[in-house]
Amino acid sequence: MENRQRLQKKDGVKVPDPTTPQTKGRPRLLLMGQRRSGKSSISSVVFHKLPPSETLFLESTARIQKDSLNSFMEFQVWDFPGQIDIFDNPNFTFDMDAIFGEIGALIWVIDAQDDYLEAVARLNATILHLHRSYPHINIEVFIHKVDGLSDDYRLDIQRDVTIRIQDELSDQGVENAPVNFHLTSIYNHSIFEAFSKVIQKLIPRLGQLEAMLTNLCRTCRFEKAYLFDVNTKIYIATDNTPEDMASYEICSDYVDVIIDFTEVYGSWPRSDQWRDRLEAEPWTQQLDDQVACEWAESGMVLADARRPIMLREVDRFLALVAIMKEGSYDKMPQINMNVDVVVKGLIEFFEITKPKDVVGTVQGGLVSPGLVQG
Amino acid sequence: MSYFDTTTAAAPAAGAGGDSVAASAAHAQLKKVKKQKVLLMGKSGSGKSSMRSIIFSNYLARDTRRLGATIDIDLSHVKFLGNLTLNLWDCGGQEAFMENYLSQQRAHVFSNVGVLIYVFDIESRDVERDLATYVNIVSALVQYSREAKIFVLIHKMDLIQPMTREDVFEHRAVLVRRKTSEAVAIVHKQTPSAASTPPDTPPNLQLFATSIWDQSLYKAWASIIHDLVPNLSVIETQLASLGLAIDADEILLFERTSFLVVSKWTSREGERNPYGDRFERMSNILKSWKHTCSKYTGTPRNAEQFSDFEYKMGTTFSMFATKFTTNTYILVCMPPGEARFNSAKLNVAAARPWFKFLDGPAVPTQTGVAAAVGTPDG
Amino acid sequence: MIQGIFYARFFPEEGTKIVAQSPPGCIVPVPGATTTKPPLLDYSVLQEYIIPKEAFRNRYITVTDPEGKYSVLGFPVSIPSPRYSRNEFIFNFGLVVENDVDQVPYERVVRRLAVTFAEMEKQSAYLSQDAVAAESQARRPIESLLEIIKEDLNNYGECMIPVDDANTINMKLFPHHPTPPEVRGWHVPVAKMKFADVVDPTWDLTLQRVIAHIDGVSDVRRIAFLADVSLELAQLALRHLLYYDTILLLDTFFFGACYAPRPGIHDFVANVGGMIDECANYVCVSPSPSPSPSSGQAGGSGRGGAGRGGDDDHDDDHHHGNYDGGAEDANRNGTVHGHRVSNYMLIKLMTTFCVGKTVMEWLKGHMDSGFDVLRFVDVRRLVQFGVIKGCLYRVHKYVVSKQYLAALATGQARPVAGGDPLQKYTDGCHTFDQIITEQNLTDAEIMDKLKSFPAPAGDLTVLYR
Repeated sequence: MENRQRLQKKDGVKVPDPTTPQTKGRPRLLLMGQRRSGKSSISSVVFHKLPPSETLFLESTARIQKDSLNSFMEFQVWDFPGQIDIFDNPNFTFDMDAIFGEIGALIWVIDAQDDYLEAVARLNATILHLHRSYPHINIEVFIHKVDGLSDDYRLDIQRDVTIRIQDELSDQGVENAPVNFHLTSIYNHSIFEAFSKVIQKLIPRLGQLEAMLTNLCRTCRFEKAYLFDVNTKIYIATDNTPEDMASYEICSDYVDVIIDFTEVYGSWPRSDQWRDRLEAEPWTQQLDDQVACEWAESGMVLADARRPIMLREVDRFLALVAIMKEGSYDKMPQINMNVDVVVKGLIEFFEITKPKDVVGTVQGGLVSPGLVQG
Repeated sequence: MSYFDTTTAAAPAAGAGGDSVAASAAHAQLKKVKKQKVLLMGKSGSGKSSMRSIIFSNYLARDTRRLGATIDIDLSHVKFLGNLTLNLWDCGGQEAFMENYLSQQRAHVFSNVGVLIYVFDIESRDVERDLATYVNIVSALVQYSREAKIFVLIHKMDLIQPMTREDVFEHRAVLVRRKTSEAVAIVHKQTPSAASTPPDTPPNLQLFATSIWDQSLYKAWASIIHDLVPNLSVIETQLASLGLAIDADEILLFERTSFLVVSKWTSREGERNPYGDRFERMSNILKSWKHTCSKYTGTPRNAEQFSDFEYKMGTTFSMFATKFTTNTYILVCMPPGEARFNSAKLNVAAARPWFKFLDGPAVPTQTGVAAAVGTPDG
Repeated sequence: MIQGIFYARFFPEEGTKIVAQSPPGCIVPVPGATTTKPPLLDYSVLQEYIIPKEAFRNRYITVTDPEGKYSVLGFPVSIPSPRYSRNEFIFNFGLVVENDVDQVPYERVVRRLAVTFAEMEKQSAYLSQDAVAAESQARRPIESLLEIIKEDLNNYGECMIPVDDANTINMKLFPHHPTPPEVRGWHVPVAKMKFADVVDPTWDLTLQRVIAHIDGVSDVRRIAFLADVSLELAQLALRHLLYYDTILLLDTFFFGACYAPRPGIHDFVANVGGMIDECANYVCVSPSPSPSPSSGQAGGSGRGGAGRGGDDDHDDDHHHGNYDGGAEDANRNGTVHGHRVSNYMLIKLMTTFCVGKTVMEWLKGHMDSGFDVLRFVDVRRLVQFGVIKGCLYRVHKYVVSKQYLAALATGQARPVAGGDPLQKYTDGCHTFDQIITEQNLTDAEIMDKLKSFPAPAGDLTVLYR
């Protein structure tokens, strides 16, 4: 206990001032859970593209880590060290408002491969605390590290955790608390899927977005369309056709391929000679005028000739990825026009829903306007 | 929008005229199907079968954990670019087998070998013993297949601290080089017939540091394959002509199953690319993409997964990849520009017959460059 | 004979290794052994079949060494599990036998060893922890286990060895025979060995009761009746004996039956292997007033000795054996001299059986021509000998009703319960033997009944074939 106090003093567990201009108005995610439940691994894999196999070497988090994400919604991930009990700390009182005042969702991580009874108890305590003062906060429970467990066993655990929490809450007179459960693992796409669900709830007017995508799918006869946050591979919206893990996986991997190609071939500033030559005879046109679209555009036909995939960058952070129907590849020009219209609509949408005090212009840099990671 | 195409086609057409003589001569040689016996050896558990599965069977690195030990010799035939067949001898590295290869099966295993790929496990504790076995193997190889090339892969480099990897590799490389020369020297001393050749012939040896967890594996195998592909110079010249004709920055030719870079051409601007490891990176990216596709389409992982790909990165670059010949894929990276892009695609399609010889011995030769790079505009 | 037995295992580092063998040095030389008896076979050639590639694992495989002298019978087992260092544990318990022996009995042994040890490995890592366990001396080393198995199987044909607290290896070498034919109610079992010597109280009860009534004369139905067991059980028991080749099945002997020669008769005429002497020994009526003592026929080998176990004295009480009894009488009254019938006469007797001539008629023919057959020859035994040796075959008698057949073919008639009991036999598929045993009638009675059969004239035909 002494040790921990010293550690805290040294590290100076200070909650960052929530009222600094940058953070104001951005929905925040908070990652909490027992120690070694996998919080840091999750944020490293999802937000920093760490290969899952390397998370084994992550050290345990000793202080609150604040990650401001370079992403379209600019949310924040606060990785809370598991060993700090914020509600029951005799020596240190946390500024509850500072922590919970503005968060959109609390993600509680439970290690499914460990004895989770204590974790569930602490989660219950937390929910009860929060429910009183911040009833708007979504509680998202990630039943984590389910890779390696059988399907049946996973569902058993989920059922058990759900019942334990709901029983406890209704005993305390709390009904219909906004608690959601997700089975996750960093070794497959489930963690991204879960984050997608969490984040979609924080997006204002999500229905509008979905309607736009649904409309696009209908007009262009797409099977499925996703709006991806490129850096995290979280999808912030999709059309209204049923959820389909397989199509999400291939689309998200396609985003990866494009990012990788961009890195390999788009990373060095081309020489002036190169530019001059390209703009000289016989082209005699500005390079910018020679291209049809200033954003990244891509398409791929799978070998079975069905379901081509297309990708279109929307802005610095977002990309539209869709699985098309058989034969659509030949009608690409037409489809591109439709996509253009939708993309314009999307940009407008985000312009409107953007928090007013944040200045974020879509900038088309000289080198590459998007997709290259900062 | 189409006035430029004729001009683009003109220059390479003239350049290729000189090539065509050399090319047709080379085509004659290409008619022969070439078989190469490739021995894959090394101590048990050094990772031979794992790398073979990754390169030729499209395993993911993590899938190889499930592989069992190789019993005796696993023979496989890999058809490579139509006129080259690799007879891959994956030799189980257990001591009992090794002894067997060196005694009972010595002539059987070591004669007519084109390439020996010897894998060292960098983590192995008994380096002396590993090297002793290596010397025995190399001696047997030199005895029965004097011309064989030797590739030594120092494997599992991922287990070494990144800071010291280079030093560790260099240190091991020196040891292996010395041991190789010793082995060769021993054989030359023993066989008087070898007296005619100078005893200090440097063995045809190349070393690589590899790991299945990154693209270093592709780099090593790409150079192995590169050395095996017959008449590579022909392919390279033709690729260069094509590259100039379509104004590309870089062209990569991939083998269909392994997605190893068989041949490449890079423009002067392309040479400025800071990523020296981009070829193996591309192999790596495309292979894992193939894996995703096979999961999605439910087709076997060795099956063909995509036929066409295009990517236009605004004003930075454009690229496309497509099925080229039966056994190859081509990837072209080029400057931006809608018109340039479209004509390049058509030109690549037109150049296909020109590379048909990659697929097999039957070669339709006289499709000149001028014909190949036709004008796509109407 | 098991020449060698071994336990091979695949090690991730060393490769295939013979961990245990018996006798020592039979597969690979034992380091430091004083006696240098060369191994039975070239291990380096065969080792790839001892721990083979995946396709050959978990199945019974046999390999013959290049010299063709020995065969290795093995069952390489692979147990895949992530707990082993290369995801697999591979082993093989194998036997070396001479190439020309019947390998079928050994297959079971090999399979049993594979299954038992695979199970023990899965349960308690018995094999993979072998080295550890051996050090603590807590259990018998595998080498000695193998030695016991080999010795016991070779010497006793079976073994029962406790391996640990929970497991015992029980194995027996079973000879393999083809499935025996059906046993019918009218068959007459003839013992080929003295059952009294081998039966002990632990045997199956039904079998014991049935065996007691095998006398070479009684048909199966009668045996079942006498032994007071159901016919099905008696048939099953006899089939069992048949499987082990301890009995023969003959048909019931009637003087009214027909026999005819088979090609085997040539051997008899040519007296191949002293066949006629054997026959003479068996069939000639001994001059002594007592019936031929069983022990007296020891000279007859194998099948020739058949019927020895049966007690001929019971012939008299057999209701079909009246004439046989007469033969006995003739014997008793007969004179002493000339008890060995000449070869010529025996051949003559044997070759004069023919289709359409009953034994009775045959006997009469010989009596008329001046040879008092019954005085010198036991006719039943002569016929039995002929059938067993393949010189004769029984010409069976069938009855066919055209009307009944037609009705059967059109599906109109089914054998009606309560109808004429003989009708169902008139389809030409049932021999008179069957009718006799099943209906408990004599041949003559059946013929009478058939004559009074309610059928148009010419409808019934009696066939011999």
